[in-house]
Amino acid sequence: MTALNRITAAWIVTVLLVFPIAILFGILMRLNQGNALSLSSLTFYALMTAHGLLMVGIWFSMAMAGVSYLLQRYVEVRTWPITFGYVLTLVGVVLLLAAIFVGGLHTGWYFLYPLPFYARTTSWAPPVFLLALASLGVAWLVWALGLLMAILRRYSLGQALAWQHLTGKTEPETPPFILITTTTLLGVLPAFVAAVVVIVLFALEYWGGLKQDALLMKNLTFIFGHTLVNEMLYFGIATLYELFPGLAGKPPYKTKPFVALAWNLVLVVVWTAYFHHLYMDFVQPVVLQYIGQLASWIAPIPAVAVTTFSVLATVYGSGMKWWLAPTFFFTGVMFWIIGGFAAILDAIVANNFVLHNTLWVPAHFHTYNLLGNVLFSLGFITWFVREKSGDDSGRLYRPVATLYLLGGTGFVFAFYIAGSASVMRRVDKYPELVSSGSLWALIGGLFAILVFAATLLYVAHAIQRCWRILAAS
Amino acid sequence: MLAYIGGILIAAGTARAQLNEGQYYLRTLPDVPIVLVDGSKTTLHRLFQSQSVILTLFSAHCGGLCSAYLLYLRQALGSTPTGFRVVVLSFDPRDTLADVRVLTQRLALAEHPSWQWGVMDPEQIPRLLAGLGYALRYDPTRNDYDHSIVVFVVDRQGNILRRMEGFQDPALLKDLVREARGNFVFSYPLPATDVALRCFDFDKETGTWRLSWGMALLLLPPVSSLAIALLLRLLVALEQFRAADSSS
Ligand code: HEM
Ligand SMILES: [Cu+2]
Repeated sequence: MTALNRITAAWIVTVLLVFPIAILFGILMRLNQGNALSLSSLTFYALMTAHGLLMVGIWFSMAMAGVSYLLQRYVEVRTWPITFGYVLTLVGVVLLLAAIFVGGLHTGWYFLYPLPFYARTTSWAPPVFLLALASLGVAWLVWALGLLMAILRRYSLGQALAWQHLTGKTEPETPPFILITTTTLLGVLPAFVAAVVVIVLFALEYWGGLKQDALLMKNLTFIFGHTLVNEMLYFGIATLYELFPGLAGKPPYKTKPFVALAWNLVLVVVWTAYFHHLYMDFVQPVVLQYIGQLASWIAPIPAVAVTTFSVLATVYGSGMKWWLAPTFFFTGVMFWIIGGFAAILDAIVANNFVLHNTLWVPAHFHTYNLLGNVLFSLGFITWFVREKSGDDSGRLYRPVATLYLLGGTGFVFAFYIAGSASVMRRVDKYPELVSSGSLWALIGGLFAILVFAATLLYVAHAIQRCWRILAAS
Repeated sequence: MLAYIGGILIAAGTARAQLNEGQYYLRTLPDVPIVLVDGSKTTLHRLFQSQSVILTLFSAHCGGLCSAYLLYLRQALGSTPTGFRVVVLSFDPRDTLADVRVLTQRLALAEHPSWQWGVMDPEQIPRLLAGLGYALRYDPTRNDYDHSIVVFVVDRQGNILRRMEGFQDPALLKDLVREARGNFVFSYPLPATDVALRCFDFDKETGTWRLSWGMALLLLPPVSSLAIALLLRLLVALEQFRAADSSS
């Protein structure tokens, strides 16, 4: 019990230390695109790669850390897989930063083949990068397997997936938290397996001189990248299902048949949604493009619908006392809908011809990350801090919520506008043809500074209190 | 606090000299006045208006690579290309219209309307060269220019779409042109023996292709996920069996 407190506090402290740095990288990028700064192209792409990988890394870890902590309400959680995950994640992140900032690796966060071989300044960057990736993959795989084992010791596989509820039975009961956590853990395993395969193929080329097939590498890379970020959101949703009704003073959610159906659907369909990253790859078999389009609709929509309905029903007439934690959860869901809608628009083949690789893409994923998934995790952290220290962060409520939400909205809005004007993503300076991109970059950067300010306020507060948990033990 | 400062220092440390390949992409060229070889006056943008253009520069006085490069371009693009035009401008202030006319006759490109030749007012030349990123240096000992050898693909609004230096495979040049016309240029590396696992196999004789084992590899992640789930279930059963065994 105290060991779980400690590792959870350690995750919180670590994640919250890295978060402002990664935001700063983002602000530097935006200011460079807005011509307020002049970074070299290599610096820009190094920052972009570090920003993307750090953000995905810390928020995936935090989402899983939240779930790991809450899991003890239902099953016996052993801490060693979490600690193992923590140590190996740190190792991976340090190696990664070395490959990027010393080795000149600048692939972008999903390291498309053969970009990792083109690190600019040293010859050791590619193998170090592969090692970093392997370290993260093993860390999260062992951690995920540990959680799955814990669940399966108490529930059969069918029960954990709430199959008995599909037919309308109510006994034995599977709480939504267990259902969502199980589908998400099973769902994310292919990402790790794909990562292993990709690493092996990269290594075969690097050391064995055996060339790889670019289409195969792209498919595998997106099984990893897409699935990872998609499932990370669902961990956040699991946390929300577990904590939100309590925050509103209502009884816990129950697993209804349609809830069970929605999440079982998510489990399998999510594995094929990644095909939407390959719409512009003409060699990809056409049938996979159709599957990608269908899956992109089927995977998120039922989950979004069920969750939105539950959350609104919970808030309605509850006389809920709003403080930082429920505000984070509630606004997170609202922005998840907006960002999800923008993402689905892009995942329609006909629209993708226009929106592919424009700033529309960062627009939608920042909406459901910065203003969605991150808020779910911050909701958990705020709740955890109150549980452990009794402090409900009351003083921070107004300044943090206002700055973060205002800044975040303005920041993603600037991405949407530029994206609909066909400004391309992943460009350090905008050419004349899309020069409106620079103005929106500057505006976005300024709004992001508000988010940065809110984050510093919040981080200082939460780290202090979590540090005490670590120090006390 | 140290972590922040460290992060910023690391970020600043990566600034290094580097290539600037993308620098000219979509840059709009200045609309300089041009005199065509028949004496008619126009401007650069008007030359681009009706069709995408392949643009290159030369000097009629050049004793170096210019003639060879223009011959190579004629061979690669043909003297009567369709769907695009070739615009060839002199960067040499010494070139007169008469000099250019002689050159076009020597290259047998004089009577071909899809090859347009022109000269500029000497004061306009640096403006265009700056826009193109064209390197030029006068060498007084040889009384000649050291200069880039490069073609540009320019769209109808006068934006640079592509820039290709040196003598390249003519097939590449054709692809450039097709891309400039808005066609999609397919490219997928042909089968080589040193590729580990391919998504497709291609039969050169018959021109047919079929799915290969690389695609099958995509099934591995989801299948192994299900396998892992069953394996864990088994492990748990084993654990429980052992526990029951030792307590009885
Ligand atoms: C205020 C906070 C943030 C700022 C200022 C920021 C800024 C940026 C910028 C400027 C880019 C590059 C966009 C382009 O392609 O031109 C970017 C990319 C990205 N961001 Fe953020 N971001 C923030 C928060 C987040 C969060 C919370 C996440 C994820 C949880 C995230 C994940 C990513 C990813 C994955 C990329 C793509 C990198 C790539 O293309 O390789 N960002 N961000
Ligand atoms: Cu995706």
